[in-house]
Amino acid sequence: MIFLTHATEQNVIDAEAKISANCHFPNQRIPEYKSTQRWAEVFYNESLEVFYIVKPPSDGWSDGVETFTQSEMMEGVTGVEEKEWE
Amino acid sequence: MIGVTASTNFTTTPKQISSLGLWYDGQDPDGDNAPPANGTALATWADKSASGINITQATGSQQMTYQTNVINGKAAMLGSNAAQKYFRSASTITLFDGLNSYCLFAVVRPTSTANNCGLFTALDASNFGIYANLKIPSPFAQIQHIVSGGVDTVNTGSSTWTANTNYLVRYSRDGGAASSQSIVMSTGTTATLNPLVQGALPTSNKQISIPTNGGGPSGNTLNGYLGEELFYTRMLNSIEIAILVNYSKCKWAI
Repeated sequence: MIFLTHATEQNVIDAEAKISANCHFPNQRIPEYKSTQRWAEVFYNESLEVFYIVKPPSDGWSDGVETFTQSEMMEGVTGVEEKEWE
Repeated sequence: MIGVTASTNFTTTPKQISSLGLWYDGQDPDGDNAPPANGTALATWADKSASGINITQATGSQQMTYQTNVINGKAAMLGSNAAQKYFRSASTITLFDGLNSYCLFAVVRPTSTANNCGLFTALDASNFGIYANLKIPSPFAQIQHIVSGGVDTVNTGSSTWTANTNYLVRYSRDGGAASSQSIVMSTGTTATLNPLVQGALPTSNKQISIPTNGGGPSGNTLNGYLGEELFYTRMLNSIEIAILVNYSKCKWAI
């Protein structure tokens, strides 16, 4: 699995905010029932000493109402590095 | 154990056996008999029992996806330990209040033997109560049984399951502290066993997590496909268990 990482938390927060905006999150398609608030939570990897989020998958993402390609989700995302681990 | 022969048709539903507290169906995760499109990420997995305890995940990257043709041609929900995919209920459920007996059935196809392959937890803010994994890590050194291909495997903490294999697993507790527990079965065979997979049940901030949350390199979350989970708020008798085994075998072709 590929993650977007950076030693500076704000960089990852900004990247996540951009992806969420690209996916039109937060949505409230059915309030209190079906909604997605954000693309990812920012976590910290202690061994690598980086903050990270999950990179959008190569085959895109869909919630059944809207479908996004990886490129669409990643548009305008800067300031983070890609790392892969399990 | 009552002998049961699987047939291609099944008319029993889990609701026909009383005390069904939770029912999450990977073939019908919306609970409306209208399956989502293949690959859809779901924010909610509907509870098809009368309890109506829908479980949710508001973070897109942590939502399980509905995948067709994954367990003997049947659809199921795909999880990821690395991405920490799980659903969680509200923290106010009362299902476990005063509960000291239960039966949990799970149909699962792990795609990895790494991590603990969590399936179900009942927890409060800081403690696991019922903690049903394919592997139980320390300090939860209890016993579980998994059966695949007709061979019972006692899992006491080692990684003994096989990736890309379909499992029907039962966890149960009958009464108080050290009662019978465990088990089971892709063959309809039931083993009776030892103490159990449970700490103190939550008494506040009570919620469930399916699969167990807590991903990462040493995490607990399921890598693989979750077909179905049924939770009964009492111990079932052998006839009832046989009926549910038959139901699962027919539904999932296990």
